[in-house]
Amino acid sequence: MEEAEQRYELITKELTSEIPEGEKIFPDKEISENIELRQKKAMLQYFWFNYFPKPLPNQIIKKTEKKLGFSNAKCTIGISTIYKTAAAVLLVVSLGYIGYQHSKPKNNVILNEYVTLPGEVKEFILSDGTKVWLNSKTVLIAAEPFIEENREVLLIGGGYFEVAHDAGKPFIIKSSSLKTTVLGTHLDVSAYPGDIKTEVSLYEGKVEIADKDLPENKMVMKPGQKVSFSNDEKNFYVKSNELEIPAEWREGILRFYDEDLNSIAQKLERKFSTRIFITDDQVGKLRFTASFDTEPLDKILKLLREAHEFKIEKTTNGIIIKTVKNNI
Amino acid sequence: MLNDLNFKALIARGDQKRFRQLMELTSDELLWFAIGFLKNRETSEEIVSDVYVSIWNNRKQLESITNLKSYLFICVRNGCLSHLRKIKNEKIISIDSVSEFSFVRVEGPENDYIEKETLEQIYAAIETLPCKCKMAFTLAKINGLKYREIAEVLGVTEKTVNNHLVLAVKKIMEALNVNKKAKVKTSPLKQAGLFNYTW
Repeated sequence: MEEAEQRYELITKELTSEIPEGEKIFPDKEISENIELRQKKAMLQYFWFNYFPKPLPNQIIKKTEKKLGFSNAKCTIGISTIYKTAAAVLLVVSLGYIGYQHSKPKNNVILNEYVTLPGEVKEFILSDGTKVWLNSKTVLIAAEPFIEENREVLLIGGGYFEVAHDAGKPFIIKSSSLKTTVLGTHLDVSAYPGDIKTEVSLYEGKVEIADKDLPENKMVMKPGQKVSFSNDEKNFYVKSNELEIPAEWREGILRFYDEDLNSIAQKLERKFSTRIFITDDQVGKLRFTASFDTEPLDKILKLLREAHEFKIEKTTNGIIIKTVKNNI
Repeated sequence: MLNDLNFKALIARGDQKRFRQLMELTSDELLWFAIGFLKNRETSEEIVSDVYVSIWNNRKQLESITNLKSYLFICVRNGCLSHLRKIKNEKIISIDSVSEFSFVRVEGPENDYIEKETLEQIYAAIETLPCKCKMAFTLAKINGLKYREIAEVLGVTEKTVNNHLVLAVKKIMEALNVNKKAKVKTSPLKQAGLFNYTW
């Protein structure tokens, strides 16, 4: 009887991970030889690690915040947290279910957040082997490992993907206005909050891009295509059919192809983490084609000014770009 | 994360976002625990919420609490005890005088490896356990508390916690009826490896 008692204690300590690290466990002869006992132990272990109560929808957080008068918390959130907040909001919408599971302990799915700061480019490998480079100021959220039918990730910002091939499990990149479905390929997605368009460049393979709100509004991209989707008008525009070097931003290269100053300024803001104010529409609409490597912001602006005239003013709050006309 | 000094320091300084995170991480578990005592969802929600309110109001002392997780469970325990004292008008002074505690219903992944009848057998075995033993089992199995933490919450020694849990395991194992045709798809041990989730 004493022996049986010890056996149960051993099983209990295994379940609760109360066996100190490095302590030797003597294999129990009875457990290893008695098939029925082994099956029971396996079943108990399965119960212990896989069976949990369903999260109860509850008002606890709401109630508590109300009691403490936190209701105005939303208004005091700083700009730096907007990206995270945006992530949280989108997350609730599209991955709500998985988010729910996240609050459960000992769950096999973990919600991973990959983040880059302004001016930073980072490379990550997801649990399915997909390689991702994130451009500056980007948040990528993935519930890993991917146990659902699809491999869904949420992108707020810009990223270059080398998607690991898995024909049975499409890789889906959700961003604020587009849903990009991928079957093993290399592509670059730029979907920053505040930008008027979402851009997808395909370098290899095949992808389908669809309006997130109207899935019928979609197109299939061919390699070499760079498609821009207007977030407001909801239409696709094939910008280029020529294969370029994939996602040069990974090497710190900035390339603008017939791009207006408004959109260039947004990219410069993210890369150099400064504010750039453009005072009038006319200057904002000037178009440039250029590429930069390691040049500092000062030099980039001066070089751009060579092509079209404008005035640069530095202030403590950022850089102001003005038209020169007014001063003549 | 909960016992991260920085995390507690930030809440102590009035970081509402961190405080919300704390609630998101712990509210489900505290609610299950409270329901175990009271069997009433609404009252349980109220008690857990009151615990958070008092944590926030006394946030300056947060940094002196070494184990926030077991502290939260102790607060919920106390809240439940004083509620029981009020409604039952009995002399429920300590956790030892509580006579009922229910083990919460659980669910497994789809394609259940454990059949429904077996699960009922497990529930039935847990029901036969003494009240405090059921509490210890719940805190270990559902909430993943360590012996030391369970001992704090139940006001007993770690040795007693061990005895409670061994008894629970023994009763469940004895009740299990192993089906000879049991589908062994994935080794449970292998699956268990996925659950190295730390608080």
